[in-house]
Amino acid sequence: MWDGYEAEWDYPFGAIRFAIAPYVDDRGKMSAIHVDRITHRYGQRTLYRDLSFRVPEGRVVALLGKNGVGKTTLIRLLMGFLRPSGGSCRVLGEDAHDLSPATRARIGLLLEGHLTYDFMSIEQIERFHRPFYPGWRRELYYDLVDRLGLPYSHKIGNMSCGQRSQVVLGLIFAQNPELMILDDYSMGLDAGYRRLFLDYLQDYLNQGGKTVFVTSHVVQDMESLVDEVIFLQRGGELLQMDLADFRRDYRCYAFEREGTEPPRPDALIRSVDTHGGQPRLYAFAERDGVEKHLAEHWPGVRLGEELAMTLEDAFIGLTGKY
Amino acid sequence: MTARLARWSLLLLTILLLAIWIPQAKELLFDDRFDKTQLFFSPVIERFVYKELIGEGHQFVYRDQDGTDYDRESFETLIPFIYYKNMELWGRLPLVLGEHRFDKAAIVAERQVMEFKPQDLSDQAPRIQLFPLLESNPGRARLRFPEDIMRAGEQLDFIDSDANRFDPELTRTFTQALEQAGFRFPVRAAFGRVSILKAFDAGYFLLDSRGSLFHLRRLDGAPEVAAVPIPEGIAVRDIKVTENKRHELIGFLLAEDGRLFLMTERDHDLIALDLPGYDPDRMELKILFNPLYRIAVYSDRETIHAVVMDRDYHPIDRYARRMAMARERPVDRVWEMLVPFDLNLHDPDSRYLSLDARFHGLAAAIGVAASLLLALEILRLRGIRPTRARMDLLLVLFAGLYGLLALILIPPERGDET
Amino acid sequence: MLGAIILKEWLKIRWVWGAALLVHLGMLVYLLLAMRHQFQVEHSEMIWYWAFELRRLLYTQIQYLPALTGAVIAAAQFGPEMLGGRFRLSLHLPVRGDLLVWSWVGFGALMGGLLALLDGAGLYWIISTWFPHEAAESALLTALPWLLGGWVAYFGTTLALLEPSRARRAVYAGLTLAFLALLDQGHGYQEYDRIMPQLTGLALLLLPAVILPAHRYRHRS
Repeated sequence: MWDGYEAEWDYPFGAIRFAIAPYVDDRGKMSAIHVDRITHRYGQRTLYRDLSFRVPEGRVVALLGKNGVGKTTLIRLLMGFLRPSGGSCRVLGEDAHDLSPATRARIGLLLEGHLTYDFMSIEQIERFHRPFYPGWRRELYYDLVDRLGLPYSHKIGNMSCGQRSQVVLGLIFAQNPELMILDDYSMGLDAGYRRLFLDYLQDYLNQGGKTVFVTSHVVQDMESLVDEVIFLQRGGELLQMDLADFRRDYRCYAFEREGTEPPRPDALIRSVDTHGGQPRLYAFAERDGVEKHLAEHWPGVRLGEELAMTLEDAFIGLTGKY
Repeated sequence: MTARLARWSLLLLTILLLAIWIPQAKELLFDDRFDKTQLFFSPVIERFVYKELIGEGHQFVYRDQDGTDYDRESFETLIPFIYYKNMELWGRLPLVLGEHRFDKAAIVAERQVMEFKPQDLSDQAPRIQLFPLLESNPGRARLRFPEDIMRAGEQLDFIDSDANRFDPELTRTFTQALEQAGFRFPVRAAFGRVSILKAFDAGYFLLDSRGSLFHLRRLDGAPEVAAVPIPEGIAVRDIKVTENKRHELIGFLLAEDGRLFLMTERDHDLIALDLPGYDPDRMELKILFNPLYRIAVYSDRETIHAVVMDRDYHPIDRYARRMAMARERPVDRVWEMLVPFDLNLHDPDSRYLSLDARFHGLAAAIGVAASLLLALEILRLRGIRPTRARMDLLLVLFAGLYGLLALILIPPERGDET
Repeated sequence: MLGAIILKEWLKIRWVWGAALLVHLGMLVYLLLAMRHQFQVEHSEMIWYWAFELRRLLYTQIQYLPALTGAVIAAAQFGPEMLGGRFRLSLHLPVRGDLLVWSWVGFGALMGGLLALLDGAGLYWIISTWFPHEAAESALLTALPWLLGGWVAYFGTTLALLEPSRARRAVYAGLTLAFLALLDQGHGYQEYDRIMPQLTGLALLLLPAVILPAHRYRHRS
């Protein structure tokens, strides 16, 4: 059981002593992130209402959702850059809105688009970040950026999107934080580098006690990385589950209809895809249950064979194409 | 905490800037052409007469102290020594007043105006303490500036302006001359008129470390120093030198106790002026000379006074009136009700900029009350309970409209109410 | 840590600061040449008469330079922070936000202050080359509100740039212009002598004030 800890840091402005209280959820599990009934509006539009979820410590959790559902906004709320109109966010036991410097030091943050200081060079940006983090692992940063084959004096502003992301992720690994919050880490990364990143992330996780909260466009990579997934739908509907459970329970079936209209999503049928070649329906149910449900509610529909899915297929099956 | 400090710093800054600029904007919008009343003494009717603008445009009145109105030409004939050129045009010269008869030459010979304004006081205007000591006997019609400048300090330094170099020779000569005349260095103050557009050069009056006064001139290149005997009990505050071709007077001498004297050119005798209510720090003074009288006219921005004296400066009569320009305008009254104070940047009596606060007193209670009500309404619209914004309301209570505007421009932050 | 903060600020402003240094040196050289020319075409005693008695200011070439430089340094420092919301990177650093912002403006003000020092020293030297030291001292006192204008423009631009709301940005710009106009009311020398302490006090209020837009940036909804 983690009991929190006390520490003292030396700042140029004076020593700051801090104590971190443990944050334990009602199931006795510690949450690195706890979002509790937040509501957020953007102008007249309500992005979420009463949204709640937790990211347990030591887990890798992916936040998935189509463009525009508010993934980046959610990360801004988590980091206290936005104030929700209702509810609360707690990160490592502290109010997201009032994170102490000590807690911020324990969080590695990747902002959307691998935002960084374009006016710095490879060497300067490392020199800038190093003094802020006591556990800085310089070798990890240079190990990653050396692969770019660029001189250390190369300016970040002159790099390609992928090169820049390599630098920024290198900084986050060097920080060696307890919690990583990565907003769309894979943007601009080629397949090889994505794989490399996953290897690094695995090494990082192997240290134990590390939590990762990630959003990504490339759902496929999540397969080998993620323990849990949170699906965020437009309007703020949210589904959180273990990835293994999701892969086991979420099924895709072909179907045929005899003149009648296709089935519509209901309590059992999660979604229906009639575009493209083979019509499909998706459900968190085994074949028997779906057949019984169809016979009862959609007698004109005949269930075909169960189709194998990649994670991406399942994601699209859950959230719909567009 | 620091965010609150930040907001209050900005509120304070905003209020002070508003209190300076909004009154200036008001003046820009509502200032009018009203100028000071022109007050004279008529040698014809032996009454004070004045010309005053009483309304917009050209609504002048020409009136005497008894309230009799005149047209412009009649008015000008009442003060013929002022309008002697018009008199000449209208064929009214020579002038006959009682048993006296004055032709143009006699009038011109006696005409003189001496002025003493608050801005002439040395503590009302910054001045680099370097003065050119002109050659008082140039041997030609025009005066010219010397190629050296005088620094009145521990000694009387001279600095060559072409080379910007200290001149030890001239310094020694003039310093020694002063010392030999009994001058005790350092120089406390130097008074003179720096100009070549004057009838002649009277040099400088120097106050020594004991408060004794000396007169210094450069005559044919050499120093000419004379001690100026000052009667017992007079400590010199300021001297304004006014060389004039009539050669009667050399200027004004203002004593520390506020008494004003005229100084004669020849013997440096002091002539006390009896000017009731005169305040040299706030009032402009003019002395008008004519063949019969000396008239002292002095005014602040409300009241104009005049004392008419005979040729020996003995008072004969005096008059004072509140000028039309001092009449309170409706816009001023409304203004005083609207805001609790102004900060004035420009002091018309000084070359220095100032930040003088002028408080409007109880009149401002109406504006403050209205501002408070509006502030409460603004807080209500923003969903802030008045009890949570006590400090903001207190600010409006003290700063009235300025506080309200500051509150509108820099409203309380959400969750950060005072 | 302070070293790292300064490193970043220096990297942001070094080119602009270098250019400003050149411009300031250039203006001082221009002032020097203009003064020299003046003394070549006019008699020295007449120029001294204009300067001392007629209160003509012979060094107004540098009047608006500090304000311009202040605004440019602030833009170089805080423009990049605002592009794409990079300010969030700084707000995530494990340092108190207010101390961080004060370190930034402290560095910016210091670098502006160095240029102001150069202006002051250059002005003193140039004036004292052709005039007695009293005139050089008077020129420095006369230039004080101009130099203070640099401080006001720097902090005013900082306020406007860090501020997330457009309307409030306009408020800050308005306040800054109102303050700068307050420093541009003189006609002759040393007219500000008696209110410089009050104006300096007023300008110092901008130092705590810069925390507000940063606070609003972090806590906006």
